[in-house]
Amino acid sequence: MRFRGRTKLALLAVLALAVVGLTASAGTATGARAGAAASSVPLAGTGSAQTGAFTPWDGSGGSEFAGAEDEEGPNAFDGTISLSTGAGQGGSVNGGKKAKSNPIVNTGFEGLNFYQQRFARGGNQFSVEPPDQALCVGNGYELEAVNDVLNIYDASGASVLPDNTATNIVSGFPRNVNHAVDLNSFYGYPPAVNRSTGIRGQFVTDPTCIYDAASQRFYVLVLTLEVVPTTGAFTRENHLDLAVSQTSNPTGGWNIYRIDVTGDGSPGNTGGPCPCLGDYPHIGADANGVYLTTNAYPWGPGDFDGAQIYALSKAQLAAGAAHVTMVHIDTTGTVHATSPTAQTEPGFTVWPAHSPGTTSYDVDAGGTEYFLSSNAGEEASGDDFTGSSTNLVVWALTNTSSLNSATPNVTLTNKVLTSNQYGVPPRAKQPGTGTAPGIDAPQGHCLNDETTSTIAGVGCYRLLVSTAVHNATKPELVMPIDANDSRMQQVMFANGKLWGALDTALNPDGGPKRAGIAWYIVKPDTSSGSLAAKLAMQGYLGAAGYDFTYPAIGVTPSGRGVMAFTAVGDTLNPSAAYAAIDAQVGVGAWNVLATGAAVDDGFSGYKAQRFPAAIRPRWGDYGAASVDGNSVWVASEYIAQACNYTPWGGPFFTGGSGDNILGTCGGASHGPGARAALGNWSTRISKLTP
Amino acid sequence: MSVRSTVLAATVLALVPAAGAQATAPRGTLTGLVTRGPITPVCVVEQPCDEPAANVTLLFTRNGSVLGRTVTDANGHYRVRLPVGAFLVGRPSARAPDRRLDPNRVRVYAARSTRIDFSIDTGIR
Repeated sequence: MRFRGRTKLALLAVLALAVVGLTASAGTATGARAGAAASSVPLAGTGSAQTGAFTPWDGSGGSEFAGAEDEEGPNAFDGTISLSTGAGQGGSVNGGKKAKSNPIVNTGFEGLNFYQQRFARGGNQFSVEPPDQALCVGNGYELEAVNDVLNIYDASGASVLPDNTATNIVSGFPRNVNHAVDLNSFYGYPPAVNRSTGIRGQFVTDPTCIYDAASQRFYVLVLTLEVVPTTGAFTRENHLDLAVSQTSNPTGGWNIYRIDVTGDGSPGNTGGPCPCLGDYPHIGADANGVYLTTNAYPWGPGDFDGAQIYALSKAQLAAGAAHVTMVHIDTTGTVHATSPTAQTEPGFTVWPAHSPGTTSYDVDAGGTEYFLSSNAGEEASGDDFTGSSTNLVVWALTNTSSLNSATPNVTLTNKVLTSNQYGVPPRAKQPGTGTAPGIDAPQGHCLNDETTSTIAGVGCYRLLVSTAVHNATKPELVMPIDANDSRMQQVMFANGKLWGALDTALNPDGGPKRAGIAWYIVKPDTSSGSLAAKLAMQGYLGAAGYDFTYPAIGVTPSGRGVMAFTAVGDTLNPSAAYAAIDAQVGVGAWNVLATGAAVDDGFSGYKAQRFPAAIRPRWGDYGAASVDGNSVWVASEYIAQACNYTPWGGPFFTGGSGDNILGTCGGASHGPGARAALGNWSTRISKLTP
Repeated sequence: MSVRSTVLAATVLALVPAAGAQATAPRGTLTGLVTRGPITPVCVVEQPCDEPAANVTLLFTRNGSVLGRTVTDANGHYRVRLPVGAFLVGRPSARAPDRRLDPNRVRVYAARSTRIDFSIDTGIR
């Protein structure tokens, strides 16, 4: 795959004809010149966090246990990035100063999990991995979303959505999914799959959200892929669906805006690599706008189409306007990083910042929204792709107050800073990696089993896959789980600084390579009218024998922060963890918020479930942190509950008893289950006061 | 996928001519499937998360020299004969070792056909 860096210059020239704002070069390190096009996004409809209509699934039919396909992962950076372990449980590279942030864990509870997502809306859902964590907190509510379900909690962790257990009938019994609502319902779509007819609804994915204290609104963003209902085949049409709460109460009504990204958002863009997929959408906000970003990938082989930025008027969104002003900016050809070929590259995962409270925004230069990105990925480095980098890209969109006018005139610039080296991390090792799954990984254990007597015959694998697939793929092993690449993760602008982190390869204590975190605190400035930025602090977090993945940073207006992530290690099951972060000592020692109860036992990590393709044990793809007052709420994927082989098989094993759905460990009372047959991910939500 | 064996015969094969001593060096064969994925942001058990990578060129290099290349057919299959020993594998658009290709290091054994499947990471998440 080639990535267009220079090839789109001609297109940019055309776009300039429709430019609303143009940029100037920002210093010698780099500059940016981006085309921007204004348009109007109509209100597409309204919704609510209520389960839509469905036909209960009776547990029969479907192809869920017939076997499918998947893929392999990226190769880790093969250099050495040393890290000396500091005090506490983890490495901290800056010491000697008194920490400003000293988090106290206030509360924590299990969030959405595989069982709830699979059996919401009467079981008319798919088994999906990974969850893709969204969390936004405000006005006394915690809204959580994952692939493909949503819940809203009070401060104690109790769901405040209507109890839908009595009507949520699956296989003849009401199923307690803790009131969770599927995302297809939330956005007004038919079920993801009608398990009785096989008819598919829209393919909704990649949820992310913020609560904006100034506008007192929740904003929930997903990418929706249109499908052929009878086959599930993608039509290639896809759009961002942005739901905006009508009040500060997320349990009430929502307005929904849809932005077509099939052509990467450029009106009439039918050339280049598109039709494209608006992948990995994320959301941020400043005083004036709400900002959505995507990575535009072509459907099928072709050139990466660059990170796309969609800037919308926040005031109009919050008011539920019938039409909302939007400016679309394509970042292609805007990054001038130092490289052997001196080529110009696109932005990649240009994560928009969000700010806590109502006074943390940068109002310089007519209002400024910041973004961060990295460029070790092939998408961002093109022909210079090596899998590692020493560049951090800081972006500023200025004059954002114009988004609330009839003639928006914003300017995007970027500056490339020199940072510590980072590179694509290796996969994260779980306990027992490379060995046969034990009874605490019942799906994997089942796929290997040839002796258990089941309702399908002798050999548990018969409950899941065909004998041909079993013979072609055995034995199954506990697999290391996906540790992301080196793309930027959640970004905040707080206390006058930009805070971000990404996944990287590390060699803690000079030992074997593990997945770790590179974190950054940047001091940006647009007060002169152009972007200036410098790294205030940077460092790594890692520990010998452990992997840390999918960091998400939340920082209060006073500059006290928490970085959440998944921790997994040679003897630690996938767990929810955190470390303090501030601009005085950087990142402190790490601690576990909730210890994993078992290894990851998801379908994407088993050959038989992906045959004939290679496997990619999916995890992540991102965590989340949300600031509410002086508290930081965090959410990370982990394995919350154990479910051993015998109860997993239940009555599907000869002489067994329990739930009449395979793999839930729900017992004879039919739930709530600890998992479903094909996966066991869960999420942990915690409140900390840093 | 069940037609793999018949498709292999039709795989486009484009060996770089070896020179000098390499022409008489013992050789082996690599065959397999090249896929690309994820092709969707989230994986669903009932449908593929990747797809055969058609018309993809793989270069096999050693000490900076390309000693072999192959192009996948419409079903993602390839077949290539190479001198024995270790190679870095990559696409023309990526500097070796190609970190979006897994595996990106292979070994060829004399007079033996070895099955190695490659996966290209699309970056979609």
